Amino acid sequence: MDRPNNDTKEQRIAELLAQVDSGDEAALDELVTLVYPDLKTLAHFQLAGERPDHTLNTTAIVHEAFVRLAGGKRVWTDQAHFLRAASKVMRHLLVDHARMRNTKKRNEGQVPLELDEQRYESEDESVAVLALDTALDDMARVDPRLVGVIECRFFAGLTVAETAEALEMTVRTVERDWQKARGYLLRAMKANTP
Amino acid sequence: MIESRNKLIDEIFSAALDASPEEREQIVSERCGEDADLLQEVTTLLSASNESDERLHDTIDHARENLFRSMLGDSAETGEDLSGQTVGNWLLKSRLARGGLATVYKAERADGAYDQIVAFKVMRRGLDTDDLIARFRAERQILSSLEHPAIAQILDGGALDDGRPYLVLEYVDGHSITDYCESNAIDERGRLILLIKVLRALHHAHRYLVVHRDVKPSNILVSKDGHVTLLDFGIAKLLDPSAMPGASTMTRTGVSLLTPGYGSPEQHSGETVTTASDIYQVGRVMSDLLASQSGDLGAIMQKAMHGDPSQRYESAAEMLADLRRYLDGLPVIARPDSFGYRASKLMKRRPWLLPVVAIISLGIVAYVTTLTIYSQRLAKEEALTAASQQFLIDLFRSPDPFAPADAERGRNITVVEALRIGEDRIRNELVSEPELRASLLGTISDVYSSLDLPAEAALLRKDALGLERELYGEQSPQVVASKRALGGLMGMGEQMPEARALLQEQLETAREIYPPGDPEIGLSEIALGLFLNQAGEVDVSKDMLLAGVGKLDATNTNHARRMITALIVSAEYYGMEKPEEALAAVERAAGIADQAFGENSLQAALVQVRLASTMTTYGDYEGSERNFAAAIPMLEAQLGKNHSSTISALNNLGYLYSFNGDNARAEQIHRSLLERNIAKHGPVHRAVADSYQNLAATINEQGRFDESIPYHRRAYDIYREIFNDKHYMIAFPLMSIAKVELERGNGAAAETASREAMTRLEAAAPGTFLEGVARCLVGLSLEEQGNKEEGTALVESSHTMMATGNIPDPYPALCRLP
Repeated sequence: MDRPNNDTKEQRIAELLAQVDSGDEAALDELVTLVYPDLKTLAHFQLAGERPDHTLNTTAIVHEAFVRLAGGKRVWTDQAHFLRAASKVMRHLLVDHARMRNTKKRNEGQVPLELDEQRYESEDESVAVLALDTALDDMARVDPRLVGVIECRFFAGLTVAETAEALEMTVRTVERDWQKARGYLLRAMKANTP
Repeated sequence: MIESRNKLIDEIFSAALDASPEEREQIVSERCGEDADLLQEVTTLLSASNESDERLHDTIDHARENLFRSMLGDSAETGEDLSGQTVGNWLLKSRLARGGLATVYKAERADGAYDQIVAFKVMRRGLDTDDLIARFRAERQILSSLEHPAIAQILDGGALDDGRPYLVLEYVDGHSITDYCESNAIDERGRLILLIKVLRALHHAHRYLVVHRDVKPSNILVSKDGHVTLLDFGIAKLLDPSAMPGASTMTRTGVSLLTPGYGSPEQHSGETVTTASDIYQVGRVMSDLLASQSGDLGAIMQKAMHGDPSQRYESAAEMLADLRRYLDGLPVIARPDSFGYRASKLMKRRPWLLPVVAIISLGIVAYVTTLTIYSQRLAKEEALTAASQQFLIDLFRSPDPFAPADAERGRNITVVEALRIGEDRIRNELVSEPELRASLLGTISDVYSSLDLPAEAALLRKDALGLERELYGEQSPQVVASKRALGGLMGMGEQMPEARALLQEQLETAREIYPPGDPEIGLSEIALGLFLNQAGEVDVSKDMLLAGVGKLDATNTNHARRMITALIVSAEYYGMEKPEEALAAVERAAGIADQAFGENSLQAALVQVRLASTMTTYGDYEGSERNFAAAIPMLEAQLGKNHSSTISALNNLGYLYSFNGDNARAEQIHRSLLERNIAKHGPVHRAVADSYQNLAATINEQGRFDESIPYHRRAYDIYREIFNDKHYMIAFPLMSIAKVELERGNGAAAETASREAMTRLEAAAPGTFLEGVARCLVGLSLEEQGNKEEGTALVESSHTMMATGNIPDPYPALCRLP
């Protein structure tokens, strides 16, 4: 609440959100850097505390992080606009992280960890995330609309209704696009993971 | 080049998705033409687009968790590994998993005291803040409060040297419910039964005010033998006791378990988390597990996952009951529009009437008789009771009234010998007061009856009734009570008409001499209701029993025996439409029995048997088998091997084995039952016929048809004899025989048997699903003999009748029900 320079910060976030929405990569980087400390705090809660339900809505966390960053204020003018930007932030964070992990793994070799019999969460998803990211780039050339749907539904964990709101599409169209996207995503995943 | 290729693939893929499923194939093959690679690409995409989202969800969930973890400088691959160290009594062998809050190790006893592999869960370093330590303790407390076979048990707990708490849990060797079902190709029924087990565990947790909040496939492990364990109460939460009506109070941990800011939809909108969240999650798991999501199953899923928590199932038990109803072919409550249809379906659904092994409902008669007699004995006037008891005590003290007390003989004499001596004493007019004589005759009759000697009991009861008529007149409580008892004793033998008349009289008189609503009238109604139930007049019987139960319940008597009887009987009738209430009623009865008579009492064992049978009906086979295993030895020891309560318990255990597909064990049980029933009733008795029929059915299941047919014939002969050639039961062995002959390819033999069954059912149960089954069997027999046209017409014409009831396997498939 008593952060310094609150006004300028709010303003800057609002600008960045708009720029990210129009495809500005540098703005995305800056936004991620800005929001990172708050995300980290929230991640702590997320891991240590409550895991609220089966499908975690990541956007809610990003949302919360932006609100915290802006000293408790909502700095975006319309919700659709915000959801689109937040989804891009999540994609950026997840892909970046997967890339880092993948590099590290190549350099160090596989760290042996007995496959977990009790909870069996073993498969490394970083390969899959990277494969999906690549597939997404291919898709941008074939059906650009799908990219938005995947960012919202997959990377940000938005529901069909929220995705429809974010992309200003009908629920029916989102559902149809998601079915198509699922085909591409699963194909990419199967081609790249054992 | 590649891009234009991708565009082409995308175009065909999109066109196929937009087309109807029927046209899809044609569109794809037309547009791909000779290009096999193209066809391959599009087909792959299409099939992937129809898969579930589960794999995508899991991937992104893990990616997210790893991202957050790395933000905290704590990657999944590194970090602390305590493998090889000893903590308290436990040697940590290897690291199994790392969750948000804790790391799990596989461990064993450090002192080698016993070979037990456990899961050792320790809080991760850096997270040991006060509130999180408190939460970890809360999990320990929650788990210790939950004792259920499907919830991983807590074995130990403590703290490392640095103060971090740890838990030692039962190690579960299994796979996630989705993996288990996939790799074992579990069918729909099997999957639903697994879900039922999950719901039972959740229901248990909910009753202790614990909400799991993280129900998902990876938290439901299934072992090789199908045992289900619910894992990870790490984020479980204790509910506010006031939020659950009727729930007992429980100490709260005093820790706020909610982190504000984000949460489930319910939490988001500021509402409290309730058991409805778990129901929602079970619905999700269900949708992951089932291929078909239409019809009743779809309705069940939708109800479970309703956006508005108040529209979901009210409890795990309610959802369980609906799944059970689905499995039993009953209308589900998730589809209220089918309500009107229910009434007709309900009464016609008597699965044990079909040629399958199931006579659960019959078990109740023996049980209730036993308890009713106890309560009658207690209802007697104090003075007479005391005098009777003194008489009996004297008998045991000095078996020969003319001899001095003989301690040695007194110890060895059996109850029955003593009773015979007592009988002689009464008959020889050694008891001069007629009131005491009548009362003593009644008492000894009751004792014979509770020893399961109904013939002897009836004889004495008749004498008592004669005396009471003289002493008190026809319109007296004593005569009502004796008629009630005598009617029950005569029951199902050749004296059925006489029994019916007595039971009707006693109810009429009770209604005249007691004020309306009196529990005595209730007892009279129950006695007649039970008779009618056995006579197959289900509708009247149900009304009668429910009315009786209502009267016993309304008097709010603290009479344990009557309440138990009332609860058990009502459970039997709730059972068909409200399984959760049925189970609750029996559980309540079991509680009363434990409290009033002690956990090791005969009464508690009798109720335990009912509980076990009820659990079978609702799919909790483990609980059921456990209760049977505990109760049957006690019944054998205290009542004897041939007592009808022992026999009915054993019969229900046999049913349980059959239902679980363990036919060899079921056969063993039914052989033993047959022996016992013959020893007890002689060769011609309904119980003996039922035993033959059940035994033959278990043998059929094992394919030994040559062996089974003579048994079916035996059952048929007995049914004919005792039911005077007119009863639907006579058709059952015939239908079994027809089915067997069909399986062996003997169309002619099958036709003979099924035609007779059809003729009998046209007379005894016209228009019912039973007649439909018989008709279908005739049709199939004709088809088997090459008479396709007439046969097929018959099979098809059977469908309307079969729609009126619950048709057990394999008939729906056999008769090609749509």
